[in-house]
Amino acid sequence: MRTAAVLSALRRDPALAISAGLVVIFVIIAVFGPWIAPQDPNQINPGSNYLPPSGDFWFGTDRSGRDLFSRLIVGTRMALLGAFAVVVIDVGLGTVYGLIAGYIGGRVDNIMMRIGDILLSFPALIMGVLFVAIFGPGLIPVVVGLALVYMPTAARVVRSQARIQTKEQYVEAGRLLGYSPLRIALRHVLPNCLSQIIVQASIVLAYAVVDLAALSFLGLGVQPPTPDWGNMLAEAQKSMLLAPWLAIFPALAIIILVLAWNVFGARLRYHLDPTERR
Amino acid sequence: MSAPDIHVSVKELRMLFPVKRGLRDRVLGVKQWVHAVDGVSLDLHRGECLALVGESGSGKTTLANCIAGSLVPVAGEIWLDDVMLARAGALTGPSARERARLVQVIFQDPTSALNRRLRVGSVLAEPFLVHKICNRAEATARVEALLARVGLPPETAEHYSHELNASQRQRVVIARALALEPRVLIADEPIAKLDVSMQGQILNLIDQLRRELDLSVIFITHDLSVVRQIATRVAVLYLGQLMELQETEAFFGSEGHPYSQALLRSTPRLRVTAEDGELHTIKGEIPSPIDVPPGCPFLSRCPEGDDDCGRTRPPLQARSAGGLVACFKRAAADLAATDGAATGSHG
Repeated sequence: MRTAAVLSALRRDPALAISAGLVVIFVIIAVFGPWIAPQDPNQINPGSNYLPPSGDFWFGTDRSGRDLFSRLIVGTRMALLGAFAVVVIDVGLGTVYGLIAGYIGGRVDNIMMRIGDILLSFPALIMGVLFVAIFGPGLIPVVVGLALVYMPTAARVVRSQARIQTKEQYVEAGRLLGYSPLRIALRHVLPNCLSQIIVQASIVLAYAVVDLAALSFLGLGVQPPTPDWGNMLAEAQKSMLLAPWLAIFPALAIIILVLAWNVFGARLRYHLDPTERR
Repeated sequence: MSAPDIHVSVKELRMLFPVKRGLRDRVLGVKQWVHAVDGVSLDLHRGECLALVGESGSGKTTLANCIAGSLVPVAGEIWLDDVMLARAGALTGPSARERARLVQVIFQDPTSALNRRLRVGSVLAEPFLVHKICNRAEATARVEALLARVGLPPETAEHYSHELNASQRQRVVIARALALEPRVLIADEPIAKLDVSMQGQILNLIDQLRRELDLSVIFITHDLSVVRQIATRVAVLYLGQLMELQETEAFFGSEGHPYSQALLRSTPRLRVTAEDGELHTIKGEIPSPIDVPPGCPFLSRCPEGDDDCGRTRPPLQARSAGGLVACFKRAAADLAATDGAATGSHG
């Protein structure tokens, strides 16, 4: 029955179908990238540096003659892996945080949300830079930094839904039946927040892709020679006029991935959250 | 008449809520309170159905919530048999889990009262599992028995609440309330959100369960026609105060409290005769529950009230014909009648 509903939603909503299709393609590329890539992404081809797109090198080659297409394909893994890690940490912490604040309410809620506001006032990139300054460059510090900055947003989403649900009478009924607060929060309130959590995760993923690429671009995230869209862009900057394809293709990859996830998230919200429908 | 078997006793119960204040009041330290329940004493007899009636804001639900243990009263006591359930500022006696097996509530809106992510079977099995009454396998049989009790087929357990109609949903809510075999059932306007065609079924069900399971029921409603169907006694609340407590038949027949009479006159009837004319409406303003007047709270709308009624609050007094009423006029009339009878017999 559930599968049927998903299939009919995909059929009736082309935007959902297309974005979901792109999302699936990106995930497949991320998982199987090294086997899909026509060449070794790190293989240096002396003499064929800065070649424009051609039959041999679909997206051209870079300064060292490495195949840009292969590097992009293999780089997808870093882009998605980092972003997924951000989402898992962010939404995981945010759900716990928001659920506690929303379920308890009152003064606890107020204090927890104000602390969240303080975290929220840090721009994401600054937080990333801060974590790199403390723990050194690399994907993990950058991911943790971003996840912490995004956390209050996820917490707010969960908190407001938890707040709404806690006012429903089934929560009061649970209390009167002698259920523990933990049971009510986890078994009753949390499942009713699930659709908001899923939507939030898809939105954060798009943000995380952009911010991770930006931090790699600054040389703080994934370190060369590991192929990554952000550090590919940073390299491309030096030869922008000589070899514009070096900047165009990674940029396009980021744009398409982010757009696909954004549309996917928006359509998902439409289908999962009945209040979104008019 | 034998002395009634008192099951739940509410003594001088008061429940106040702080008014949400603006910045100015907070700076000036002005504290205001809504008097939701303002010194109510009443008894629930074992096995009876006591109707709590009154307009919205009269404190019916607040009173019920105090008895259920959702709210902690500001003053007064609540007793269940010889166990004190609550006193001023604290819930006493049983733990929340023990309390759950004494008092349960049927909610007004069955849609909100059921978690829509759970199947009916899980909803009904949960009380058994939480209270470790039986294991998961035995719970299935118990759930079926519960469903049968409220007149639902066993397949209902497989459904989600949104797949049921409102009447079926309310039956599920009732079944859940019965799972722990409580002694007291509070029904908070259980049919207000149902279609008229379904209201009767639920009323009959509650009445039937009360008889079969020997439950003591508090039935909150603002609909007097419902009262006549189901209640054995009626308690009338106004502005958080008890105005009248009466046997159902007497309530609909006798010269009750002026407020009760006004309520009866303003109730739409199914059969309208020519002399009925237009329905009466209660004229005048309800006083603010924040600033309760010192005298009779109903004075501002009472057709019979005078200056004396505004000085002190009329006490709840036993009537010569039975029942209790908080009205100077009725008390005086009763007194005159008994005096008249007394002098008449002597002369």
